[in-house]
Amino acid sequence: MGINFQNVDFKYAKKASKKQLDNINLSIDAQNEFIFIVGHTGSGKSTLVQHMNALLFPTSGKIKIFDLNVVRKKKTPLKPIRKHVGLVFQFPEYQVFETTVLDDIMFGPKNFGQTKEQARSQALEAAKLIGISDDLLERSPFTLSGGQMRKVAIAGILAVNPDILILDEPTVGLDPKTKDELMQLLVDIQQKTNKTIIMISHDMNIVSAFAKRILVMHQGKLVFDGHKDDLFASHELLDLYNLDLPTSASLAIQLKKAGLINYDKLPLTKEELLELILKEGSYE
Amino acid sequence: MNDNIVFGQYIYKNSFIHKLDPRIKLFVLLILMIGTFLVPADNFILLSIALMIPLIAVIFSKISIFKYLKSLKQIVFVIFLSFIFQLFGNEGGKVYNIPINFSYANLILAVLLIVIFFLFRKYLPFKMLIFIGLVVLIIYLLRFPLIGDPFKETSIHIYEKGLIHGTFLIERILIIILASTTLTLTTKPTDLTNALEWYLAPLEKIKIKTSIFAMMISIALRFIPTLFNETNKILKAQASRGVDFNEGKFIEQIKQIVSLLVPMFVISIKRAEDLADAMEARCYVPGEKRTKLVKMKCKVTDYLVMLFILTLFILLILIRCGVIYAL
Repeated sequence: MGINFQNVDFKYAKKASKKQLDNINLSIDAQNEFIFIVGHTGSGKSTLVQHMNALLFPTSGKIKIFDLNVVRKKKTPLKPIRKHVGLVFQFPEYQVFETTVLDDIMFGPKNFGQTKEQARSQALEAAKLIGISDDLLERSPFTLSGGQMRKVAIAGILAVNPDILILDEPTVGLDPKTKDELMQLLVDIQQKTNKTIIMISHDMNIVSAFAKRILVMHQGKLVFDGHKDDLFASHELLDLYNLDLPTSASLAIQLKKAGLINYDKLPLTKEELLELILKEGSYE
Repeated sequence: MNDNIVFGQYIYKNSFIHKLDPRIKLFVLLILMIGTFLVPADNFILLSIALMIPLIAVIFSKISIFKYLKSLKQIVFVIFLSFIFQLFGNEGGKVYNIPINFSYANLILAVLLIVIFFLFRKYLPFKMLIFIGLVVLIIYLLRFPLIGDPFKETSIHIYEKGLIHGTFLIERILIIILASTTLTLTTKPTDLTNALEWYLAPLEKIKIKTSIFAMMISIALRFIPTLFNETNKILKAQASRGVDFNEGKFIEQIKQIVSLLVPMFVISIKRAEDLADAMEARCYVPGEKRTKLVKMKCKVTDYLVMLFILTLFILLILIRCGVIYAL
């Protein structure tokens, strides 16, 4: 078992009336999951993933991560938990600080007690996985472009070789091409390594294309946990939690209204929509 | 999260104190500070009159008394320490003897009390006050030899003068902290810098651009919470990369602090650049004459407050110089 939440509540202050997390029950496997967390701003997505990394601690309830209890006690070592679950923050390029790219990627593994050689080989492997070319490795990270810097930052977490990788909006602020490239890389990494990847995203096009499982957060509560088809098929759910449809799906709905295509199952990706349109075309 | 930082935290209330001109408030604070130190030593009546001023302001400000207590909480230890120094550093007047008997039972009881305190410390409000009370209680308990004969008998001498000096000092500190907390709780930082700018305006005559400094101060104040949040974010990001600021050898710890400092510098410089661009886009030219959005204007109440404070201050100076022998 990877991550297990049992009746988890969280408040920022003891007396605060608002719960940031409200009775969360959740379990996530250590392998082969591709989970997206969606929800409005302030719905508790970031708070949730910070619990998975032992950066915040539940006010009540139990969290187990690889059979390690997440509790705020002075003697509880948190590093083993963080070794299992790697968290990439929003705009991770700000955490970069070393003089060369390679050194920065090596920083994580070294902190988790690897020798220099081990750290180096893990860093090189991570750089290769995320597609950082060799000529960049000796450059100063501050001379790189935004997209490259983000890759360096993600590589810094990958190099630790966590079992579960969590990314908080990894594609925000990137241009469309880099966005697609980064998403494709992450999918490849997931398939190659079988790691569980958890991702927060607002971009429904990405969510619908890659998610195997979707978690919807709303006002601190986990209101949906299931397959993407179930979520996007239900207009009530989407309306209730202010979620958009992916572009292809809303286009398909318009086309159906106009009587141009017909379908039983809502197409969620560009490819599915294209297939439908082509099928429609072949009738004539 | 940052509820404990009361100093420099403005709380909006519709009160007479809030509406006072910031220049007047700054002036009153200054006069009050000078005044408390001009009060002749151990003249409690005069100092109590001085204490009345911030107390009245606290009551009129409509802000919960707990906010003020919180700001006092942070310096309870300092107050206590300076009281102790005054208490034992002065000789003269009546002597009070506090007998102290060291017996085993007494010592065990004392240690037990302290251990209990530290065990339950987490659940207690006003930790520092309770701790100070505990120390006093232990000293008091040491009076009585409980079980067995004391192996050492001694006593603490406290002189009347020390007691008076100590209390006097506490009152002085109280006045200054209360007054400055009232100022920061009831005045927006921007208003404060505007007031400061007004007081420094004469320096413009000798070609010192005070408006630039005022702008710098208000920008610095405005960015404290922002940078605080950014620091928190970076701390967390590095923590998930295995940084633990509490462990490792000294060299490693330095390295880990660097992992916080470099990103903070990068972020600050980036923010400064963005801000400079945004300011220039709004046609800000350093040192150029600017019109004010809010013009500071003294009302009748402002003049009355100033008159009141000045009268008290002049009376104090006259007493100090020996012109008036009252009190």
